[in-house]
This record gives sequence, C-alpha cells and structure tokens, in this order.
Amino acid sequence: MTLRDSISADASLVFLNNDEFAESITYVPRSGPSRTINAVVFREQIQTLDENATVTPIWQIHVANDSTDGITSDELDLGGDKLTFPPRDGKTALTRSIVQLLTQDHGILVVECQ
Amino acid sequence: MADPVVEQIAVKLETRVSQLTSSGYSAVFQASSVVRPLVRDLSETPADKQIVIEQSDTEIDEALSHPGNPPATAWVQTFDVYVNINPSESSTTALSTLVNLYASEIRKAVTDATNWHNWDGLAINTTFGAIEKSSPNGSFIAVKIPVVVTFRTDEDDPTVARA
Repeated sequence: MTLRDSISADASLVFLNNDEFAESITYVPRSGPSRTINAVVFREQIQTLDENATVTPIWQIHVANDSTDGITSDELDLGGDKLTFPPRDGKTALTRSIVQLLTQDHGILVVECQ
Repeated sequence: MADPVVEQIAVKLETRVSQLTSSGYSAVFQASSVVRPLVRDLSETPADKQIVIEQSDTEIDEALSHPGNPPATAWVQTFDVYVNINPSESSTTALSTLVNLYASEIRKAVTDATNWHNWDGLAINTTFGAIEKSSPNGSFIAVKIPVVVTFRTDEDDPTVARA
C-alpha cells in the first residue's frame, strides 16, 4: 500500500469514523441524487458580519475525498452543491450551501457552508 | 397597530420582486427565493438566483420636509436588492451577462405596478441607484440594485404617510 493509499484509507476509517468525531450528513449535489456521507462538522466556528450588519454563521466541514463515504474533488460543484446537517447539536437538520473549498488533498476535503 | 411607513414599503418591495419566483413571470430569470435577512440567520442559506433585500441607514431630507401641525419629515431610504450569482461550475455564461440580465429583471419587477414610484401612496418618489457587483456575505458574488425611496411621515408618527 502506498502512502497515497494509506492517506485515503485513513480519511474514512480514522478521521471520519462515526464512532468517534464524525457523523452522518447528507450530500445534496446541484444535480443528481443525494446520498449519506460521513463528516466532521465544526459548527458555527466563525461568524461574519456583512456590510448590512447581518451575522452570517459559517460551518467548516471535513469529508472524505471519496465517491461513496464522502465527496470527490472532481464531482464537487461550488455552484450549487449543498449539505444537510443540524446547524447546532441537537437541532433539526437544515440544508446549507457549500460556498468554498478551503483545502483539499487525496484524503480529505474541507468545505465551508453558510 | 399600523407598521411604520418604511416597513410597509419594504413589504411591498418584497412582494414585487417575489413575482420573479413564479414560473413564467420572466422569460429569462426565475428567482430561487426572496429573503429579508434576520439578525442571526440559522435558517437561510445563500443560493444561486436568490434575491436578498437589505436596508441601509435612513436619511432625512430637510429640503423636502415641510412645516405643519404636525410637521412632515421627509425620509430617504435605500433598499439594496441583491441577486446572488452562483451558477454551476460548468456554466459557460459570462458573469457580466448574468449581472446585466438580473439587474434588468429586478428593475422591471420593481416598476411593475401602476404609479410604481409612490408605492400605493406611501412615497413621493423612487429612483434607482447605480448597479454594482458586490459580495455581501463574503462568499457569493451578487449584483446590487439600489432602490431609493423618498417618503414623508408625520414628524411624531412614522406610521402616517404624508403627501
């Protein structure tokens, strides 16, 4: 197994393990069917104040770069893909737009939702 | 209890631009939703073709105010109407084309009423400001169409419109 393969496997089995810090959320692509994926959600980590004084909460979400358990970097469409997850622990899940791809590697994508 | 005149105008503005969410109202642009942002908004998410109505600070126009009992205060209120632009990564339409298109359709929707400029007698005039590209929430690009409404109210009761 190459280092590249190990990184990819660890992303799903270690970093995005639902028995630890990850949870199941729903990936809603702009086109095509939705699917359940695993993700680590950093909730309302940052909030911005726009030019009209509205607070915009931001969620940073880590997902596997994977077509089954996560989202592949080539299928991600920043023009309309969304994720459905509870905006705050214990709240009902809501669908949020993916607005930025913050970082990416062969194992994990980090996206920002608003 | 009546809402302040400025709120009544805001509601009418929302109604007019909401026509664009109806299929077939515009042959070239159907808005995904119309939003007046909350202070801390957990429920709304930015989306392509979403119309967002923001409201800037209100100004007093001393020249258009006039004496009386009570006096009439003239106000100038700019409503910034944004259309979020976030097409698919596979879109081949130029950004400037979308800006031109959306700005045009917003203008047509806002003026789609008899005596559109006076908001059913609530205002004395309405004009449009310069169209700008903007990024109000720091992520999506949006086209901003300022709608500048001048209206008068009783000095001591902002719910009463004055001619």
